[in-house]
Amino acid sequence: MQPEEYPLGRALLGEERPKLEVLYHRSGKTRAWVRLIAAPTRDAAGAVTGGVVAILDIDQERRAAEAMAESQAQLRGILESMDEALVTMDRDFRITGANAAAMRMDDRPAHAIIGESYWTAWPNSIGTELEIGYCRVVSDGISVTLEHHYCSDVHDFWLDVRAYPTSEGLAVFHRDITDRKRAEEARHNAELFRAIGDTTPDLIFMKDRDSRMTYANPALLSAVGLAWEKVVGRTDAEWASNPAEAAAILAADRRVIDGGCTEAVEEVFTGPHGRRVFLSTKAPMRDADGTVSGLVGVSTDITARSRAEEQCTSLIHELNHRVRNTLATVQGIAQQALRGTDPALYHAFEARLMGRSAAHDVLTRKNWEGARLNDVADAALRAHAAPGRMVVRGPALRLEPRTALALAMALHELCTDAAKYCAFSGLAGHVSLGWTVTGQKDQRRLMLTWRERGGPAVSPPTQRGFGSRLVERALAQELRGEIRIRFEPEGVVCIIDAPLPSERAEVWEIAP
Amino acid sequence: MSRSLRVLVVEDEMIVTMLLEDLLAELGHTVTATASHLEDAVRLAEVGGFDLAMLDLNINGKQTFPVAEVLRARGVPFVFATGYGEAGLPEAWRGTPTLQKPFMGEDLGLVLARIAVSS
Repeated sequence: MQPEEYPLGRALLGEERPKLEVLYHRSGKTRAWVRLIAAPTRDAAGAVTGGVVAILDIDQERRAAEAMAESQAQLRGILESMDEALVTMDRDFRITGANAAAMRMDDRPAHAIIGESYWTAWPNSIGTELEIGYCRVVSDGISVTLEHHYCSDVHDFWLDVRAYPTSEGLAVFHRDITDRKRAEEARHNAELFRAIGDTTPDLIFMKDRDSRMTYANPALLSAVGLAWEKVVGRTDAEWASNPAEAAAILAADRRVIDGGCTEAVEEVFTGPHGRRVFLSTKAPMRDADGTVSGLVGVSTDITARSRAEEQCTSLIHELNHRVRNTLATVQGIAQQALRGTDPALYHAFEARLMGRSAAHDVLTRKNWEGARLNDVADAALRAHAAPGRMVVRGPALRLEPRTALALAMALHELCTDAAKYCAFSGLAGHVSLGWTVTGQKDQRRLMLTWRERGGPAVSPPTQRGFGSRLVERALAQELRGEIRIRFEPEGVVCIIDAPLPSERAEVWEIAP
Repeated sequence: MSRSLRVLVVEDEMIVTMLLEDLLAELGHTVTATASHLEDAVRLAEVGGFDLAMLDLNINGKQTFPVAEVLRARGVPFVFATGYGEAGLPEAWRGTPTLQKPFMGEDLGLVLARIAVSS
């Protein structure tokens, strides 16, 4: 350093109060910081005549400041280098600082958020437990710890947040605990899956592309009567006692794996619990790239259910048998009781019984779930008319049993009268039976028309017979509709107009 | 079917047996034996002395197939009369002439005529 650079030199050159802090080498090899302050001395005219210099020992002060700076730099270094994000805020939540980790967690440069309100920088935190926590730190002066799930358009992570009150406001440490949370979630899901697998009575399993077992729950192991070690990595063919059953199971696996579609299939497996019937739902499992890697399946034991269904079918079968035997007995009783009377009496009775029986037959075929109007009409007309003398036309309709029986009886009576007096009594007469369905849903109506033509001229009867009374009254009651019989000279016309609520009938298919 | 047939009726409902007697009589045939129990029916079938049998499929809770087997072995034609109809017959007996109860005299006549043609 040149002499004129020292304070005294500068004072001699006219500088008013030059200062300098230097490290002064004392004797004894110690060094100390001193501050030199100089001032010029002047004569009356103001010309510099000399100078004075004061030497102050500032060693203590200077070392303290250095230590402070050093420790601050060290602190900053720690804050910058640590993984934990630190954001400091003032009492108005204005961001005053953010360390490197904080900036790494965010995608923006520091200057974009420093000076901004925390709630402007991270608006998705507004209204969350985070906001409540920060407010408590500022208002109550307490520290707050919480786990926060931060979701935005670009972020989806879990933070461990610790917020402390500071003199300016608050300091918040965040740590990204997304991995830990995901691991917890995965563990929870695994536990949940295990709990379901262990407790359900259903058989749950996973197989690879070659139908080798990769997972089997305890219910499955119990059903096949084998330990997991005997099952893992093997196919049903290797443990099933019945090769045909195993082949059917493996064929279903193949369809699911090759076709990539979920399938529900009834399967039979004979094992330690005897022959069991299962309803199995098998779904393909896919890799990340979408290729089928195997299947996952659930099998429900429906042995009891299918047995009940068989019993039900056999009961209906037995009931039909008994009804028919009873009808035969009634026929026998009538035959004995009417012995010696006009044979026409017995024959009229027998024909009605047969009509009823034919309607019953139609219902039996559908297990009493209902009958198709076409079938009812065919059964009733077949007994009375050659195919060429009747035309039946109308959309397929399903009738509930009571309606079907009522219509069958009515058609039988119409046929009987036609055979006695009208269209079927001659050789040329014919009948057309047609129906239409109008309206939608609950407003649907059946409009059925019976029209005789080509028979002898018709005149209204003087007395209503049982037949027409049955048609008009019983049917009106059964169908809750209007039935009108017109004795037109060209032939009898019967029109049935009845509501068809959707629960009483549904369209099966369109008739040819 | 002009020939008058001797008929065995196996039926557990007395009224129906009587009805069959009348229906068969109208067709010119005679019921020469009746049975309402399986054991009696089998014995009668073994003894013979009739040209045709009408079997209810189920008498007093027992199926009459043992009777049918005896008749088949002896070459005696028979008709099942049942509430089940032919669809209710086991596979082994499908194709056997069957009348579904209740039936009219005409139905019975048609079945007997078919048997006369085929035998």
